[in-house]
Amino acid sequence: MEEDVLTTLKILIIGESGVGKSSLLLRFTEDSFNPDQSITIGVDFKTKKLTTEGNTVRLAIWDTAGQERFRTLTPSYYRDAQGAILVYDVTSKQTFTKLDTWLSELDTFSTKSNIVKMVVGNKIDKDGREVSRDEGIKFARRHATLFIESSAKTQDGVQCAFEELVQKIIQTPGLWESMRSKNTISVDGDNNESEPSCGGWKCSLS
Amino acid sequence: MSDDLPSSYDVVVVGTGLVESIVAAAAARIGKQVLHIDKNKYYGQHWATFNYDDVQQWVGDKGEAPSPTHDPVDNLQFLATEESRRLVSDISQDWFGGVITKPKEPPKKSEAAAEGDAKADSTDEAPVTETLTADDTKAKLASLSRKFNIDLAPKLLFFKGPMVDVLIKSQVSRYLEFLGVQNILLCVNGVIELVPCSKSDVFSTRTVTIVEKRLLMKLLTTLQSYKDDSEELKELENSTFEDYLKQQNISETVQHYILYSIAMATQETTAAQGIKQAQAFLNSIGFCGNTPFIWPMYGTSEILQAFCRLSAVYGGIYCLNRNADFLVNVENGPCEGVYSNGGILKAQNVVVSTGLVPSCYVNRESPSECYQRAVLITNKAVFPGGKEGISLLTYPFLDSSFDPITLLELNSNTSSCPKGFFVVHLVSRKGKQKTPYEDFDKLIADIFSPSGEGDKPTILYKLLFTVDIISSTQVSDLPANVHSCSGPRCLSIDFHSSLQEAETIFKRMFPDDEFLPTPEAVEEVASEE
Repeated sequence: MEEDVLTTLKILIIGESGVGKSSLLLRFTEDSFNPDQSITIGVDFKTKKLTTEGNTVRLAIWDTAGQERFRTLTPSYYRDAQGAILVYDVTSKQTFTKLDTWLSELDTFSTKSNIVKMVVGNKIDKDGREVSRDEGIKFARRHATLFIESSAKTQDGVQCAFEELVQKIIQTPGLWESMRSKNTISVDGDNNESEPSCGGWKCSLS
Repeated sequence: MSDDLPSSYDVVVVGTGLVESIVAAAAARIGKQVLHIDKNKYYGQHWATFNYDDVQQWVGDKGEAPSPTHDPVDNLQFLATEESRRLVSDISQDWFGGVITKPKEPPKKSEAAAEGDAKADSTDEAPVTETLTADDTKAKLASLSRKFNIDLAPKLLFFKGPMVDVLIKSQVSRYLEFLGVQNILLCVNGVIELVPCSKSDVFSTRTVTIVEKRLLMKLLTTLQSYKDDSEELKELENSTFEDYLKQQNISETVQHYILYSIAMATQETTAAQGIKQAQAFLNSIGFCGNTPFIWPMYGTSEILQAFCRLSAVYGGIYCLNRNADFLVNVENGPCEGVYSNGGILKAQNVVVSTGLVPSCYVNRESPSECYQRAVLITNKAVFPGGKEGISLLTYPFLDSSFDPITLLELNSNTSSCPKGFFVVHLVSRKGKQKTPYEDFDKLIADIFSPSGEGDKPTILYKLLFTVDIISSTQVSDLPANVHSCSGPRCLSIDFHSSLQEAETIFKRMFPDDEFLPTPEAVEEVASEE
């Protein structure tokens, strides 16, 4: 059914509360923006197909579900992610300085050592900038991450951020090809209808 | 207060054990305002999954005395929550020398693709081994710390069990991945055998004669035919399952398979209970290979974290590393909420781990469920003849000197340990031992060897501890709007009792609402191009 899709990539969005993580997610996946978006409720993860340089991938982009507020993201949130978007608000210095903590949290919990990171300075449409583009670039260079500035409100840079991240992931050997090599089982709705294969005991009773 | 938390809630949940987390998810799911806190900086309490460094910290953690009680303010009395760490005792750990097989560096992806033939050659090479002293082991484990996911309370799911049903219905399953348990084993008189579980196993097994195969087939089918609450089953409540099996014309070996592995029963289990347990096992066979069990990747704690995520997605607020004391009305009224971080947080309902319930409500004299645990890190599989993967082994004592020991072996596929290592969990009931872990010593002498003789695995690291779980039945006279949640019942392999407890608490709070309903057709589907 989906022969054209190369793979599914898990992308995390992290950063301080209020920097616009969910807005970026919604802008990218649904091309919508809600200026009154308050604390995130009800956003889990969203999927979207993205084609870049001839490769089509499905992105599963995970929101923090507000669990970042008191730094209580579960370790399981970070599992198996191939990419992480670290967001700060260019009009709030404090959200920028906290990126160090987010990077170290990412290093602690991510299960893939070569996870691709991108630093995103959001809300460039707003007045009262406290973090210059240059500072952002320097930070990204120091931590060997990608960098982009964006505005979820005006759409600036949003598509670009995701495309660049995906290109880098695809170019990173060993990051995504070996998925599902361990024969893991997902339990889902199909489970209910599934009939035991031969060897089960239920079928002998029919 | 320094943090801008809302000051009142429908439900405040104190403690992030599994029952607590399911209740938090269920309440948030139906739109209730939920605050979920834990004084530890990690999720799970006695259900936690730790890396190796975390284990070291946990072993060293002596727990803090409950915070001093404040004087009553405006009719409100402050009751300190207890320290749940006190329920763990007899902790010790040891490191040993041994030989490990070094994982080969996986060939770089690009190279592997380019030289398919070269790859075949390299696998023929003799495996590289490394001899470690006890000190080496200690250093090695520390250096690989994050590659370990060590469960305090390892548990499995029946593939067709109630927990899987709830995970599917609530869609919490999408946060989780599982692996099938490959080998169901039984160790009697020091010999480990593969237990035939499915029809095809029964056909192919070599440990059972042909005549017996037919009897075994018939018996396993009969076991499944008993209906719940039927008269037949009721009559079997007064005899033991062991006696029931003895009347079935099957050899002792086959009796053991059914008693210990399939029903996971003891000599004392009633026939009716044994049959129910066997049914749970047999009903789950055949869906994911010849095994009824699945194991959550990265450990048991993933399950409760997944419920916490669902809770958060529906607006539940999460705070770790934060204590909370009780606020009760001096005149024995309802609990008003909790006192945390210098502020009062009002709550309609308070859900709390039994281990944290203020001591005045807990009766420690009444019978409790106490179990012994060992975590072993080893260098080889206990049953080299089995399939590569997870093994569940039962180690009964035929003379009834001790209750059976359950052994769960996890290899690197489960992400419990790095390649070249195995994590082995032991669980047994505490009761008949004269000295702690006496029964474990016998199992270890049978199955493991310090020098690796006879191809037996060597123990490189051994952690022992005993857990005394306070069950919610030991808690009494709590205000009606406070609900206590038992810790992990490790003596049963699955999650059923915890799930039931969570649902009961939920129904007590919100009798008219559905427990973890399926989310409406979700937005993510619509968002695809």
